[in-house]
Amino acid sequence: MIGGGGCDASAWVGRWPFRVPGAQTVPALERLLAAHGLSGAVAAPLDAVLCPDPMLYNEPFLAAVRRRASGFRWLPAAVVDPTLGGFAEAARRCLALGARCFKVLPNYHLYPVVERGLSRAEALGVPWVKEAARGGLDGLDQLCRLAAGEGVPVSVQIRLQDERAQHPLMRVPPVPAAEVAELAARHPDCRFVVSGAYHAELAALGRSENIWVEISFVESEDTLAGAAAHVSWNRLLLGTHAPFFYPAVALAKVEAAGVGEDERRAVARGNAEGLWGPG
Amino acid sequence: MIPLACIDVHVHLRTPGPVPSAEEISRCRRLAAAQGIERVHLLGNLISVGGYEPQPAHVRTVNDNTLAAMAATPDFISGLCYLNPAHGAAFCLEEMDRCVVRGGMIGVKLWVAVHARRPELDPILARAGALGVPVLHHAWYKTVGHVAQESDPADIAALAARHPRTRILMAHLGGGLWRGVRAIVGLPNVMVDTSGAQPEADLVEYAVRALGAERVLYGSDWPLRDFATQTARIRGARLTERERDLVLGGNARRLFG
Repeated sequence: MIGGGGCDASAWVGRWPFRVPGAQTVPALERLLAAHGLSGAVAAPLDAVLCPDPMLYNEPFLAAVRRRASGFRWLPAAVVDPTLGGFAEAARRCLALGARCFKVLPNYHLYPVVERGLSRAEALGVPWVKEAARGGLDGLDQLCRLAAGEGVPVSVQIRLQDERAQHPLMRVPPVPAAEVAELAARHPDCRFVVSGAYHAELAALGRSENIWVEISFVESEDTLAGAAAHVSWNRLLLGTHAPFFYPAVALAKVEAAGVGEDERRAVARGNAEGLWGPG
Repeated sequence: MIPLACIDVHVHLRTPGPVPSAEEISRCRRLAAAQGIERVHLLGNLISVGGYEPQPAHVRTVNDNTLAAMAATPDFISGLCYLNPAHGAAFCLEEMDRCVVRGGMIGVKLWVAVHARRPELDPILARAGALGVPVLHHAWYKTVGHVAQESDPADIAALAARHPRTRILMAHLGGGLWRGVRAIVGLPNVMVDTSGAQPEADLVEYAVRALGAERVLYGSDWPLRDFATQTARIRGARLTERERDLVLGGNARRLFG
């Protein structure tokens, strides 16, 4: 157990169509994480990812979080699809309802994070996607400016699943890590949390001072020490990717041998407090 | 400190050539010990020697490396004999004699050189059955990144049905996932190791319920993976103490002796 309780920088509440169901409600996720000694979590509504209008899941999720009075520190993230009309108003409404982070999934919502990525959307050969991708790229910039102004981080989900394990009829490529670094360079006043990155992608992310990386997908022979070779200790975050993954695995990365106590506390909790304030 | 009681049935070394790196073995042992792993089963440095279709010289080099690692740390490393069935029965059976019968290796490792449904595997499986040593075979259901001769769990099931008296350890529960468990559920001579891909929640419990705890063995795929995260898949699963002990070491002791 991490002394003082860690903060999970990337968890989900809800259902995903291609796997065995896990924690589907706010109380269920809280019980799961608290049982592993965690005292707070950034979590987003999973059903919102594939819903035509994420607000249909953001609003009940944010309401469910507001109803909690357990002492667990909820840092709810709202899923925002900047290709949709009125997304900025929706994002502002989520902030008013208590959202502490915007979660974007460019690969699932069919827009790039850099201009040259538009060609990938065009290659799909679907007329409306080309238009949506252009709008999404511009909308993402607008969302990042909003987030910077409001002081909330933007969490970019590079992947939700190992691509090798995706359903053959629903293959969604990862967001290129180098392009996320370019997005961060375009918005130096915005703080980004990258979720779902592999170890091999850390080098592309580590040089950006306004990118924090959660480690749920990161693994190497000595994971945390290996990650710190690419990303500064003060920008690494514990992340479980629950309920997809066993929370115990994320904790094991932080508790592993060879990691100093200061670094362990920073990754488990301190760096999250730097982003969201002390809990 | 976690007591040393676990056996990791799926470990590699990276250092190329026939001589293992003492530093790498030492690092492996230190990181393993921190997670309570007392022994590892070395499947060879095949990642750095010969690629997907190794030549006979590559196979000998990999096995020389494993034999040397076993000799250097007999209290920590056991080895499996790496083979490419494409090299023919004569070569493969001689290599099994060299490494298993005379060299003390405890099993055979097959990767992605020849598909598991091919007849070239049959003499190897038959010989392993006769010697009473298991065959560890790679398997994965991949939507992308599939290698030409790569086998999936259904292919392993077909192989196991052809060789019911040979024990097969199917690698990568995390690669075969739930479908992979279903593929081998009716084949008592097939077990699965827990390595592969991401730590999908509820998967270890699912495998234990479907196959029985006796057919699930902890494996890490170190150094591609981390002993800490891979043991946490087992320690974080909702298993009884008996089930956990079997998966983390009891089954390996029984299967490999």
